[in-house]
Amino acid sequence: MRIFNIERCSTEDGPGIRTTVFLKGCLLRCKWCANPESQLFKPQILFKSVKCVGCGRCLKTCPSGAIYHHPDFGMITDEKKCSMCGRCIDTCYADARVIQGEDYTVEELMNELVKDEAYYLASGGGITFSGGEPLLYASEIKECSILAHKRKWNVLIETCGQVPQKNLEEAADYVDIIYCDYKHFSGERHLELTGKDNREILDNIRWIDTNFKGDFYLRYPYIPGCNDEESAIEKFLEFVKGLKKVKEVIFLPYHRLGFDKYQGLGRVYEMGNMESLKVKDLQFLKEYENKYAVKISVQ
Amino acid sequence: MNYRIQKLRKELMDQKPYVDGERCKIFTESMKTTDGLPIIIRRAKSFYEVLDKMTVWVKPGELIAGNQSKTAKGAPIYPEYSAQWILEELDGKPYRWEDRPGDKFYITPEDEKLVRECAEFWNGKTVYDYVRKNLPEEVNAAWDAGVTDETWVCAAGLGNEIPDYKLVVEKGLENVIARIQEKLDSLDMMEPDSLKKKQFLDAALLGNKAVINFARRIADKCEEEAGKCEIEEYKKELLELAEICRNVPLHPAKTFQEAVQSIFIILLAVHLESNGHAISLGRFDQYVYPLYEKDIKEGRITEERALEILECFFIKCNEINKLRSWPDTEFFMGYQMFINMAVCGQTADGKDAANAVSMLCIKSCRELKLITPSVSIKYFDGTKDEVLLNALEAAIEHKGGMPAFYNDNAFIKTLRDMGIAEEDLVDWSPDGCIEASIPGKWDFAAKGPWLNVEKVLEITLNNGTDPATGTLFKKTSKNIEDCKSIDEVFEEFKVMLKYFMDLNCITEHVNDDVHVRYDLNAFRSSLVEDCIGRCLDLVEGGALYSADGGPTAGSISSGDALTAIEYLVFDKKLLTMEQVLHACKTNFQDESTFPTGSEIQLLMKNKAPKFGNDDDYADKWVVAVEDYIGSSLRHNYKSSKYGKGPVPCCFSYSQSPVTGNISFGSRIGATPDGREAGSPVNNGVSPANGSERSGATAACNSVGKIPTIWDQKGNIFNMRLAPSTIATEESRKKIVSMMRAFFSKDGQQIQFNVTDNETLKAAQKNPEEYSDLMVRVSGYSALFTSLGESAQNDVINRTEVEL
Repeated sequence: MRIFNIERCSTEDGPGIRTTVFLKGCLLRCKWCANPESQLFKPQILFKSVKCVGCGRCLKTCPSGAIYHHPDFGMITDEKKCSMCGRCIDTCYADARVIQGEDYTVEELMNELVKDEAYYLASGGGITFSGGEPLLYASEIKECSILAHKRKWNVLIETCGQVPQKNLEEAADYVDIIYCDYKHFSGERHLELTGKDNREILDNIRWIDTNFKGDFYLRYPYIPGCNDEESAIEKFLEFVKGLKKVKEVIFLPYHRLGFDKYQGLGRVYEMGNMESLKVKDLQFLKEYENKYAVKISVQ
Repeated sequence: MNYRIQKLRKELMDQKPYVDGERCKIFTESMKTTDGLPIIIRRAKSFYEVLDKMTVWVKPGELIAGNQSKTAKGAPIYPEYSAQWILEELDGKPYRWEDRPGDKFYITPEDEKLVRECAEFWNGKTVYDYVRKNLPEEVNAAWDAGVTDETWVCAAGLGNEIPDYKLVVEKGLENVIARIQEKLDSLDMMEPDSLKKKQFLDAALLGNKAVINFARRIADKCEEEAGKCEIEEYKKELLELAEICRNVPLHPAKTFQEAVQSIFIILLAVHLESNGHAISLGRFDQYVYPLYEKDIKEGRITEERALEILECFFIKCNEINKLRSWPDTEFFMGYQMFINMAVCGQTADGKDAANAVSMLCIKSCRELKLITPSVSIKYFDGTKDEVLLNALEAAIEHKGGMPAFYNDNAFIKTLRDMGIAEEDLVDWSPDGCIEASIPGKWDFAAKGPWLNVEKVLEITLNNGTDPATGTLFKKTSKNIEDCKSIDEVFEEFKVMLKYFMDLNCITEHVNDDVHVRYDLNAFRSSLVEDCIGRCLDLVEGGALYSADGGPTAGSISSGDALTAIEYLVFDKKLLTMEQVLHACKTNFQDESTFPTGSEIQLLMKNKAPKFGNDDDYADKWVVAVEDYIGSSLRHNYKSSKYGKGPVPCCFSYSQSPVTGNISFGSRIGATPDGREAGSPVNNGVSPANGSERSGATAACNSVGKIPTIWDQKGNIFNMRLAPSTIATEESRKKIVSMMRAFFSKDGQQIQFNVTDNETLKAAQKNPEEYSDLMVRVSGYSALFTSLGESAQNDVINRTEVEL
């Protein structure tokens, strides 16, 4: 499993205290993606400008000449040239460079996860697989989940839905909670915003609704200028109304927390200067609860 | 908070702290007339005089009466403990009290005259002078070099006691007096040791009479004020208070208010007898509750009124104050008296002991937001979630880490290992900060010299010489540069630690000897079992239980330093030992080396693993340091009271450094953990600033590896939370679960600090100092400093709205 981050003590989504495993690789390219380092399958080197002391040692050390000084972003790695030897990281005394994407076996991952077992058990928590798109690692998730359940941890998956259905089928029986994203009702617009149309995602949502035995939540990233028009919201909720098992619809206000990471990868942030929304900005969406007979929250 | 409490609280807040010359004047006058009598009698007589002649005042509206000084928050002076600093500081060296950078005090010209006269009389004849005179040269050298420090007690008197309030509330001082009298009557004066016994008992009797007389004076004052009072309600209350103070503490308390008043008079008297701090309250909710229950049942009181009485008591506790010398103030910044109040916990038969009074204490803490009493929640497996949640919410509102949470399981294991009787274990209470005591049975023996653990490492790395003073303490068996492995370095460190622990043991023996000759306090002794039975003062070995040992600072930092040496020098071979030592000696400033000094510091900080991330590579060195110090203190040293009655008379490990980690840090040069010269060492057992990078559970796991079995005097774990982390009840429940999990690992204590935006902004400016700050990011929580700058700004913008 290629993992770009293991976040211990996650408390904001899912029950109890959780460890969130961020798996690398995603088939979508959402313009607002807050984890740009999650998109590619291959490992990458992320540069953290706040930590850099400007010694330039990385430039001298790189045997492939892959590192260049970008006037706005700093010591950026050209992914085409980088061989992932890791020498620039070793020589960066300031810890301003970090590898995103390390391979774990199920056993290695379990050894990490078990460290916080006492907290999962005390709080009714467990493991969250996030990404990237976790279901691209369906068989490993299945394996981990079986082990997790033996230890009485629960398992949550945060998926974008853009996965072959067989992956979903393989893992779904072994997880307790699924959070699935929904981005736009229009296939055309979906293609513009994420690089794919929404057919596979909608099919998968229907499959989950029919077959999944655990708790099912739909999440809607609310992005101004992309999917915030009233008609889009209503179409989405109309769709939800037709489903049977959605426990709750969660709206996620747009935020720009990924900005620094785009720069650190040498990429331009596509959302420009658009300001983050606040939870209270979206409270009005709760008013749709009655009309569509669905529970709505904003996180 | 109703109008009365708001008003009293505001008056407390607005009151400036004054130095009060009254006590030292009365005390000194009395001592001048008693030359030739045994010290215990002389001190009892002067104690009587002080309580008889000092100003007593009562304010209309107060529901608890009594005072320590002419003005609220005033500090009486105790020149018999140390006097030279008083004269120096009055002359502006280093600061006059009103000009201090922290803990300012004011003084009127009249009081200054009294204080000067008394200080001049005592100068050269104080406990502090005698201790320093009696100490071996190497102890004084270690003290001057900032490796050890003993100012806090011998210059400032003994404190750290939990008198037997339960006894006073239930049976009154009349019971104590009766037992003293009975013992006196049974003495055969033909027996050679009876004279000394009689002296103790006479003094104890006089001490108890002094306190009863003091209560009578408070009662008279209440009546006098009632006569002048125009507000009917207050007039009636003052007359009731007068009645109460005529009944308690002499007789058993009949009502809730009497119980609380009785406790407050005892608290004042013990403070006024010696110059101590950390005179704590023990299991307040347990011994007060029966009277609360009775009052409620019989319709004498409402819950609301009980809260009002309790809040008055809290405010009164904040009126008690102490002037410390400036060097001592640097260790104890914040006008803190360490009046610790334990609530909740378990009963003798293992049931949940939380009761209505426990909840009212938590509520008072929450509403009043004062610095004392320190409300401590005793946690055991049966403590209900709702109690913990309520206390956590109080701590969130309080913002200053109070109430804090203490783990019965861990402390009981420790105390059992020390041989404390099974039936006493559940009653353990934190005394002062966290030091575990059995109320009414424990001679806390706070005369502990501090130990600056990271300084000892610095001296070790300099082959036994302190680089700042040039003093050679003990030559290492070989040059540190010649060590072939980290284990060899650790062996040298252990030998050096032993050298200084030996010195601290000697210091305590000298200290005890001086205290036995000059600082006996019979009243406070009479409230600790079995001083009356043995006819011995606490410092002579009167208590059932006793353990010595002072606070330490920097054990975690020194573990991190060992880890850095292992990783950088022996394991990865990125640096040589010479490079490490040179970089430390030059405080990472030498840019002519390769790598440069500043690069070496970055290596130490960023590349070497650090305690607090659940990484055994780093945690094992902390555990090794802790095990060595803790087991040595427990098993290799005996206090001077050993064999005189108390058990176990060992030494105990304490990692409760107050602000000593800052003060001690200022005496240490740069160290291999990447710490710059003069900057603080870690606080308590909290990971060092800048080293906690893996979140709260990882930090809890690292702290959970610490062998707390040695830490009878406790270790403090600070966790800083951003307000957004605990914004919803659901998230607060998760914090409660985290605490349960941490305590299941025998963690001793945890306290939460809740941080506002101002702090977040400061964290941006100085990220090193805030590396453990948790914030809610989007769907998860993260360490604030791990976020990029714009993400940080984003969080700040959001948080402002949420607050």
